[in-house]
Amino acid sequence: MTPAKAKRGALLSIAAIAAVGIFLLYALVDPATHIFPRCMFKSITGWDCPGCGSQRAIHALIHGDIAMAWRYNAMLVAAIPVVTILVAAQLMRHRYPRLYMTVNSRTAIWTALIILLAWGIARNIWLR
Amino acid sequence: MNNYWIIVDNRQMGPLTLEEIRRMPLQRDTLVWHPGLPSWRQASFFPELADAINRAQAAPQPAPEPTPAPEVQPTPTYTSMQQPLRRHLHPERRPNEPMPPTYLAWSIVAMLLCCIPTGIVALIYATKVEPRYEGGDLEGARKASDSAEMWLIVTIVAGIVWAPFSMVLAML
Repeated sequence: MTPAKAKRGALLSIAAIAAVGIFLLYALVDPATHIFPRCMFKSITGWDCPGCGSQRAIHALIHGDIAMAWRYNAMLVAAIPVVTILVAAQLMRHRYPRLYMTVNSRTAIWTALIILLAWGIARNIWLR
Repeated sequence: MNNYWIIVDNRQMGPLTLEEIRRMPLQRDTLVWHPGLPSWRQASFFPELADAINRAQAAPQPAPEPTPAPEVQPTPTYTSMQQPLRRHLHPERRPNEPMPPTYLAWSIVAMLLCCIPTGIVALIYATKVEPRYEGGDLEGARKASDSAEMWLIVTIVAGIVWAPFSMVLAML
C-alpha cells in the first residue's frame, strides 16, 4: 500500500468512527434539552442562520419524527435527498458523466447557494 | 451533427459541431472525418462544408487523394467520461483529465452545520470549476477546486473550534 493510500485509509477510518460516534450522540441525547453547540451566526446577530435547528432536526429524524424535524429546520430535511443525489452522482461519475457535470455546473451550484440564502432570509421574516 | 474531426497544422481536433468546423480554416484538401466514414476525406468531399472552404486557396492544381496515415486515424474514446461533453478546441489540453472536484455536497452540509460566511465562499469557488474546465482552462479549474477545498476545510474547522466554546458560553 502506498503512503498516500495508507493515509487515506487512516483518515477514512477516523471519519467513519467519528460519524458513528456523532450519530449515537444525536440519537441518544436530545439537543433541545441538553447543552449542545450553538449557532455562531445566531450568537452574534440574533438571527437564525440557514442551519439553525439542524441538531434538533437530526435528533428528530433519527427517531423517525419527520414532522418535528421539518419544524426545526425544513431546509435540512429537504437537503437530504439533494445531498444524496450529489453523493450518488459523485460516486457514479464515470457511469453517468452527464448527471455529474449537470449537478456540478455553475447553474446548479448558484441555484443551491441562492436557495440556501433565500431560506436563511425567509425564515427570519416569515417564520419567526 | 456534432461529431466532426479535423486536422489543422498536423494536429487532430474534435469532436466539433458542424458550426464549429465551419469556423475552422478549411481548405479544399483539409482532412475531415466523422464517425461512419472509413477514412479521412478532403473537406471538399462534404457538401455541408462547401461554402465554408477558403475560396482563396482554390489553386488550379488538382488536390491529390490523401492516403490516411495510420497515426492520424481518429480514435474518439467515447468510453472516457469526458469525450461526449468536452470540445477539444485547444489541442494542447489533455483530454483524459477529469474535472476537478467541486466539493459541493460537503460544502452545503458544512455550511448548514458549521459556518455560513466561509461556506458561501467555498460554494462561490465551486461555481467556477465547471465553466473553466469546459472552456479548456484546466489550470484555472484546478485552482478553483483547490480554493473551494480550502474554504471547506476552514468552514469545518470553524465549526469544530466554535462548538466547545459555544457550549461553555451556554453554561455561563
